[in-house]
Amino acid sequence: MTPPAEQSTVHDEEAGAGPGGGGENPATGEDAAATEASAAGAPGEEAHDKDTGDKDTARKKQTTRKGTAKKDAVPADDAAPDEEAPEEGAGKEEAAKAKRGRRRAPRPGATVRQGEVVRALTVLRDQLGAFDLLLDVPGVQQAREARDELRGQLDDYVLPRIQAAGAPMLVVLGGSTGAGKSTLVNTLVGARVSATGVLRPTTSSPILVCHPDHVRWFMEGPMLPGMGRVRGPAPDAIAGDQLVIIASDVLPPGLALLDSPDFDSVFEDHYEFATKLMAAADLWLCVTTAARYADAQVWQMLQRARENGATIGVVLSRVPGGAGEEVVEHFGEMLDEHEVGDAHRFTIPETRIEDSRLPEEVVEDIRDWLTGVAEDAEDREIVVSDTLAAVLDSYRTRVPELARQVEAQVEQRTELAGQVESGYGTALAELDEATRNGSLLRGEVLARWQDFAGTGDLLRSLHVQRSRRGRAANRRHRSPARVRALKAALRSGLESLIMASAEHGAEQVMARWREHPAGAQVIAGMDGDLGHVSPELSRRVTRAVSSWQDHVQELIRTEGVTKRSVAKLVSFDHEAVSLVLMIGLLGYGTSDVAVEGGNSAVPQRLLKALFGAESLRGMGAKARADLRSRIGMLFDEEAIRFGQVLDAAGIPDETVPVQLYQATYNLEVAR
Amino acid sequence: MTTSAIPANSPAGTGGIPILGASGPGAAAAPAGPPGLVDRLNGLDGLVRAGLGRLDQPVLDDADALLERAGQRLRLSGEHTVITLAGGTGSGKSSLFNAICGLELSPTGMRRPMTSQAHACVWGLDGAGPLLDWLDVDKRHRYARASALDLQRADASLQGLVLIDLPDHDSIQAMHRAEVDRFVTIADLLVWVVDPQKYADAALHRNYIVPFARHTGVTLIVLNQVDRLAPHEIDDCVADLRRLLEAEGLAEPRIVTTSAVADDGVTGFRDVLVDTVAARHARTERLSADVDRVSERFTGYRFDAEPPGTVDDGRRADLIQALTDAAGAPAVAEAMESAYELRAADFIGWPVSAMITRLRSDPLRRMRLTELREELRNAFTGPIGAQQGDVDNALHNVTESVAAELPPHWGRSVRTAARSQATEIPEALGESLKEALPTFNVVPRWWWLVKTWQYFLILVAVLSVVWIGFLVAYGVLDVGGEDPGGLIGQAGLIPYVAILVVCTLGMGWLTASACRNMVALSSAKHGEKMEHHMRQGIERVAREKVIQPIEQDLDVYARFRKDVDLALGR
Repeated sequence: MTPPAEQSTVHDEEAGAGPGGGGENPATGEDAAATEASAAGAPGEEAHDKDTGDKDTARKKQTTRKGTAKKDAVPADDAAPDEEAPEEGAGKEEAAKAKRGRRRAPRPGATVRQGEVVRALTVLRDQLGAFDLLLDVPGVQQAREARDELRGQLDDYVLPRIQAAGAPMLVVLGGSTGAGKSTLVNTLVGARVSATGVLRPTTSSPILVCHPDHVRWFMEGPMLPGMGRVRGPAPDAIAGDQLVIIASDVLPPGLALLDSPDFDSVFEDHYEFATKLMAAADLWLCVTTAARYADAQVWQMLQRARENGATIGVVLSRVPGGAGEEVVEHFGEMLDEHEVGDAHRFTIPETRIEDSRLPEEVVEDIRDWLTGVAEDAEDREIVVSDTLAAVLDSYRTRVPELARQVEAQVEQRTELAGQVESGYGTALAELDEATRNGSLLRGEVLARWQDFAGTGDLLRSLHVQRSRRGRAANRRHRSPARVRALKAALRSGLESLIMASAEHGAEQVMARWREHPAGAQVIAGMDGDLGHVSPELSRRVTRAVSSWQDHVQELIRTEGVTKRSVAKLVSFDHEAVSLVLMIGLLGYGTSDVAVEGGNSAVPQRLLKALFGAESLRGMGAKARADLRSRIGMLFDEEAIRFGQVLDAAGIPDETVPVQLYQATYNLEVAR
Repeated sequence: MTTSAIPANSPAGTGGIPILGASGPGAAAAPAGPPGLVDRLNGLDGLVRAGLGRLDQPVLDDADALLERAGQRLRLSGEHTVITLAGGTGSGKSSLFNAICGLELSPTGMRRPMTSQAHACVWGLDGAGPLLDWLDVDKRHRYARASALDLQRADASLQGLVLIDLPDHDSIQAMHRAEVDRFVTIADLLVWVVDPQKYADAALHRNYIVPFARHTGVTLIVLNQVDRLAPHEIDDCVADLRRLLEAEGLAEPRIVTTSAVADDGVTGFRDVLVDTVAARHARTERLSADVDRVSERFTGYRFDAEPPGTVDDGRRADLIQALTDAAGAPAVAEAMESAYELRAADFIGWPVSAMITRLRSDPLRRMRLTELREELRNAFTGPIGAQQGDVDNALHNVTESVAAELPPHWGRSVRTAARSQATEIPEALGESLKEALPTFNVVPRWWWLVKTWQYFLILVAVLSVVWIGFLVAYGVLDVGGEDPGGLIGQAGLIPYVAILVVCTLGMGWLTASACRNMVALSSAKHGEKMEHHMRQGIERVAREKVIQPIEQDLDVYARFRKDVDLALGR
């Protein structure tokens, strides 16, 4: 962290009475502007001190314009950083000195604000890593890329850059395969540092060339933390994500060139590197050729670079003689069309390549421009801070865009959850209907009921008060057999009805999910089979139904206040009468007594005679409500399994987008 | 479907082009050989038909599209071979096109992208019109090299070639890509033109080479602009390109180097074209490769294991048992037995005990619900339906075990088939149970006899009581004074008559209880018989409503498996 401290000291001195911006990078442009403003006699210092996000765009423009002015205005300052630069890598003493320097002249506002920005960015980065974009909704691939890119950029570039303002300007050369990036780097460096050749793609590991003083910083520094470092020259035998760092005297201090892999060859990791490095660039130099300048990929990358706030330079190489003018012109038109017209443009004609290098004269433009920018500390700072500001600006749209994608995922999740709910809701409604419309009073239940009612066992369960004691023993041994059979039949009928409904519900949910694109994905990802009821359901249903039966019996015992006129004459067997109530409830669908005559009303009429209409209605309603709530609970437990699957699948929930919006807002406030 | 669109032998017949093992007597005679294209297309058609509503729609759509395309192509000129030149912008497709044609037909230049519409050049016009219409080449961009003058030259060897110059696939003009996509699906031979600068472009490899990797036989890679490389570099470049293509799954890719600017730079390419056109099987080869690709996607829908053709006996028995339970057959039988016994009691019961019972206090009467008793007596209305829930669970169990042996899609299909009539099953079960009822409704003649006997006994008893009355009146009390004499007057007879009364009453009671036992026996016998009947009825229902649909579906699956093999050309 030596260079930034050093640099900040320099700037403190340089800016003099400049307001709170201090030497920290995002504020540098502001400083320049402020100085300019003071020079012009504008009393805008306090205002600048409180400068926040909403002024960023304006500031950016200002900087661009004023940077040029400043270059003329304070030429004396140029020398300062350059003189200091050789010391940058010198070591701990310098670092300590820098720290002291900072301590001597504290800029609380600036440090606090930088700290806040860093904090806001760190939070944003963590939040970006805290969710998965799992479901295939339209545009998710881009969103995934955007997410990785944002995270990568925060780690690789934004955080290191904010904390290390004075580091050399990193120029990344990107472009199509075979466009001659490596050749260009070799030429600019004046040595064969990067392999060139006719086989595509040539460069597989990124090669960074910098002044010897910066090697240490790049080797150990915070930039691109995810990549390994290899000290060059070792251009050919490096695999994968290693950054080869090569020192070269030819480059001025403050400039580093990075030869990145192509972005359009068959190797996908090259594309990933290319985009990663592009996001980390202070200046992105896009190299393309006359043969492929109309490739879609080139323009996609330029578009992306523009949206991500990079400062862009464009090199059109291998322009053939003769008709070349036409191509250059057309290329220019296309640049304007794609809103990258303000990028610096260079042209390299098709020439013979000797020793992996182009003739010096064809790259003179590029070299002049690069060294010009790099050597002039102010210019360099302007480019660097412009890019940083633009990148941070771009977060204003990129993060919310991502958040919208997350919202789309959340929406899908909600839809899936809704399907679970409606699936089981339908099943529950069907079940409800089945317990009302008499479909339960079929098959075995009906047969048992007929047996029970028809043989007179039912009537025998009603006892005339006075004769009760004498005959009790006589009857006990016969009636329970039929009562038990009816009870068991009723229980198993109800059980199988519930089981079938639960099964149906699960199947329905699965069918709906299968048709739903996101659901299909969730299904593919889950290990168990949810298309069926859970294995323990049958046990639970048995328990629920038998406890309901107990409940009804209890209801009869406690609430079934026998009509007084009847109570004097008749007593009854609770168990048998509770069965009659259940049959009335489930088989004939109603506990109301309004049914006129006919066989269907037998249980009702009997019960009404026993309890009276009021009491019967109350019991019926209670018994039904109890059954419903028990089944509802069972179904809820079944439905929870689907919720668990959704949770386990890792689909973001609704808090994620909110957090993202919040993080963006916090970042804006912190700036 | 589109089978009808595939002419069985018209191309082979009229065009004189041998379609591999075309259907017809010849194909039937030689079953040993691999199935021909038409057979394979028929197989594919079978797959689509079987898969409809069962398999994933996109796969079926693809297959359908291929069937249609194949049908159309096979009907069009077999004399011609459609060859497309496709590639990235600036690779020199148009230059190559012009070099083969020998004329400046397609515009070339430095600006990118250059060609925006497909250009076609035809050698030999006969029958090419409909083909070009089908290919949808703009009339302004059609050229013919068919004049006698031309044919005098070496062009005769290219007779039957339809060469198409396509726009680039990778430029910013999205329209171009759509055009390329359209042509590469219908061309007979795909020529990919690459140049040393772009031969490793992801856009080409990912979007075209890899998806068409199966089409190696009808793919040709042309490395153009080799004049830009030094001679030793050419070999390196070709080797690298070959390595790349092989890594992407192209078996033995054909690579030709060309240079549109050098003299004789396109000779090699031209030779390949001449060979292809002369062989005239690029069309079938291309379609075969398509069928390969599409058919292979169907293999995921079948298991290698031989599927069960029928529902085996164990499962069948389980299903019947479950349906029997659902219909409550044992309970119905028991209820019917109860009803039978109750009815029997009306005949054979000892009326005296019934009378005594009736005298007891009745709770219903006290609740003023006496009519309920009659209603309850009539509660035996016979079986109605079955528990839908039980039926569903029974179906579930049988289909699960069958479906477990099938691929998921087919398992679902079986499940649907088994349930297609689920809602009718309870009714059907109820009906079949009812049919078994009549055995119970008969009233055996001996019941009447017993009834008569019982009433006779009662009559005897009553008469005896009356007799006793007379005896008491005349014999003991001497009512009327004079001795009536005979049987009425002798008081000594009273004990005997009393014994007679007791005996008749006792005999009645004994008869009743003996008959009750006999009724119980016969009702148990009837119950068994009825259960047997019910089981038969249930078996019939299970067979009609469950097992048959399942087996039909298994049949479809078996045919599907065969069709997959057929479509794959095995």
